[in-house]
Amino acid sequence: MQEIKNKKLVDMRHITKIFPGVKALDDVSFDLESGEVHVLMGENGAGKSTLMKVLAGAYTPDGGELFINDEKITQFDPVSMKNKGVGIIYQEFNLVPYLNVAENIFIDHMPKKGLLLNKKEMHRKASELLKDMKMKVDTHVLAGEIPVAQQQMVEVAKALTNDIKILIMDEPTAALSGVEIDQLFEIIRSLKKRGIGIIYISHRMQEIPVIGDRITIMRDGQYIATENVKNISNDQIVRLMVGRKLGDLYQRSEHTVGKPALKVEHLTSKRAGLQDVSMKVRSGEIVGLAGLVGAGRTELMRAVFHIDPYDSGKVIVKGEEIRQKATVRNMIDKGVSLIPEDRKQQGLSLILSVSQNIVMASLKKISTGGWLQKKKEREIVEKYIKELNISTPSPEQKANNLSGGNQQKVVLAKWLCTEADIIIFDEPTRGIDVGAKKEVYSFMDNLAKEGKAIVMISSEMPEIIGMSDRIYVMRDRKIVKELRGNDVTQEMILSYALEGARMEGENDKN
Amino acid sequence: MTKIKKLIHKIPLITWFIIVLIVVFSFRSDQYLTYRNLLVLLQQGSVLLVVASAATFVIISGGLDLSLGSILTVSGITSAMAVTAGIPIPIVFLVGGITGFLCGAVNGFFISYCGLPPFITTLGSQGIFYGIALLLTNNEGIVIYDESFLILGANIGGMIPMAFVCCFILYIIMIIVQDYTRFGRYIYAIGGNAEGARLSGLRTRFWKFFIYAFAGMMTGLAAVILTSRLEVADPLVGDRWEFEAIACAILGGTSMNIGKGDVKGTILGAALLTIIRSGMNVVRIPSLWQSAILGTVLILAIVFQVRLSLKEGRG
Repeated sequence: MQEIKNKKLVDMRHITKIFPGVKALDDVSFDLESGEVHVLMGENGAGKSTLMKVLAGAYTPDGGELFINDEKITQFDPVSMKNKGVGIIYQEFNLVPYLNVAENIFIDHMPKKGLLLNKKEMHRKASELLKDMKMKVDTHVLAGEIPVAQQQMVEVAKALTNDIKILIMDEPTAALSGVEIDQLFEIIRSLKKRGIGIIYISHRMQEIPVIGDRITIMRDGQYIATENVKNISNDQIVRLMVGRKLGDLYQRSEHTVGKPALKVEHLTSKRAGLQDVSMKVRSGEIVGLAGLVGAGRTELMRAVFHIDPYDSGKVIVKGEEIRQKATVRNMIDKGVSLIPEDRKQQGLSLILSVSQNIVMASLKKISTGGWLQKKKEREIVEKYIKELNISTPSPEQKANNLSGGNQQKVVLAKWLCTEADIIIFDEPTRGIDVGAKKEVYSFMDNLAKEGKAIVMISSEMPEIIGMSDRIYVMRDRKIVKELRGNDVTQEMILSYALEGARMEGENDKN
Repeated sequence: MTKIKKLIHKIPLITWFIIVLIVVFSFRSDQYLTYRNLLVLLQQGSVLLVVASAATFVIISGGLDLSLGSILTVSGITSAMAVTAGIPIPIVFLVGGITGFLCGAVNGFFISYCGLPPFITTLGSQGIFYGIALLLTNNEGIVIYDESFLILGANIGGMIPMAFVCCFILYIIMIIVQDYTRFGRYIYAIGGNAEGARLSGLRTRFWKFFIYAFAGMMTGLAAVILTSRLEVADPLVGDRWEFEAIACAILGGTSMNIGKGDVKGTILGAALLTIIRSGMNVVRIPSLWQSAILGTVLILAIVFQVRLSLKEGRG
């Protein structure tokens, strides 16, 4: 593999950025060479995003210098940075759902013929681009209708139309499954060969040795270290990130497994595609639900929680069969909680305060006959803020102003507040930093110790293996395997999760 | 020193506007800063305060109600009919409130249970409610002769306008509902993230429905007071009220885009609007011009308010 290297594309020297009351960046230096993937790591709030926003022209630094292709940058705005060849793919997708793929790719410079759009040309160019990326997507399909992984690729294609030299990717794999990640990495490798430099932000340790060349670690707005990926171990990275030793991430204490708390029998739902699914969770037990994205794990749990309807089958909570027509409210009253995967869309209300969010699912508990008891609310909220170590200036702070990890803790608090006995976690640690992850894990462990029954959906294998007493593997909307014991490996889970996945891929082509 | 600064910072900007306007107007006319004029302002502004607060609730919940003006009209007419039929005052309030509740329930039904957009639903129902008002009155105002009912529009001992007292009680009730009841929390929860609220076990459909019905009810109660003050129930009385109510809500800091707002701010919006309207007479703006000028001033003020809250959102 021949790679064009060593030309310095970006050189950021001693960058400082001050927000009212916070030094978001404190004397940070960072550089990027052509044809390399430079991984940028740090806990949430370490300053990664701020640094990248300076590079993308969204922020003007208060101190330091920035050179792109040896040219000193004096004007910081998104358009001129784009013209210098900086492309950025944000964590949240910025595609327009009701425009087709080609229109999205050329959103800011659609080819024209006179005054009118040259659609033919646009689709031709777009499919050429996608073909270069080894992507088979019909450019006439609406962007909102293609899978998340393909949307990500369309984002990449969109960035490429601007003749970029520098591509910033902010957690590009957060929403992707294994196969899709491989696909994305393939594309990243081909971009490298073209001499494009890539800045890669990720929380996923296991990706670093696979895709990264160099790694820079930040902490609390400061530069900590830059290393060749080959010369640094995961342990070292974590230690540099948190500035302390974490110890073993996944720790389970002694716990006793009791009676079945939640049983699902022969659950079938045409709408969600679920077929004859049976499973159970006992009190004191953590059960992992593994599988690829789209295997039906979230759909299963949504049906169990009665968010979505199902056609037949039984849901049994603590020995009592739940009516098929029951509502979410009924489930909560029976002591079941579901902590949804999508924090911002479903888990919390960003514009409401920490306090309002925490009590949202248990307003009944803090009120008598429709009247809120503010004192009780304050007590409960303060208890959970302390218990979960949520760092917020006050309970009245808007959830939006918290870091991802703290937002997730607010979601946890909201559901703990309902004092449920059965708690379903959907991707509980997605997009939060290692420190917060560890806190979430020890929290789950505590809950199990107290005798709660826990279901955890997760796409992170180490997490599933490290935390679960038993694991169900789902594929094609069915449970295909139940695994238990200490010798479960990632390979075992994957082999069950993957079988048949290839067939699905072939169906897509038709 | 910094404490004072902080305190000043906490006072909404719109308060300064109001003060500046009062100063300007009182320089133009020595009649302005009199107790009599204050009574007039309080009378004029009080009904608007209630309707604007109802609009605020709907907006916080992420919705919109363009039919509040016509609900005000219909409720005014049914309550006038009740008065004419010799029904005692407390029951008249019930009639007005129920009329408003039913109108709001129609909106709520279509918006929450049929999934129609609030904009088109309430724009359409506005026509229906006006139509009912016209049918009920045969396009003629119902003049009130019942002296005991007209007390509501009079001044207590010539000092405090009864209309203001009644409306202010309604306003306080709404503040309490917003801040101290579960229903109040639901309004925010639905506006902030309806799906998240549903997944938290809230019966979002019912509550969304109820928000419109509640806003209708409060408007219906305000209509009773308005009818007493005007001594007539006119089928066109509610014209343009919906805009002014929404304008007051936004001026008071409630956001149209996200479920953010506070009915406590709405009183400032209502005050500003009432002061501008009365001030136009003070500075002798011809009546033909007043509507256009009021609209312009309100839109400019809203632009200002929206930009301000955007800035705050970023900081």
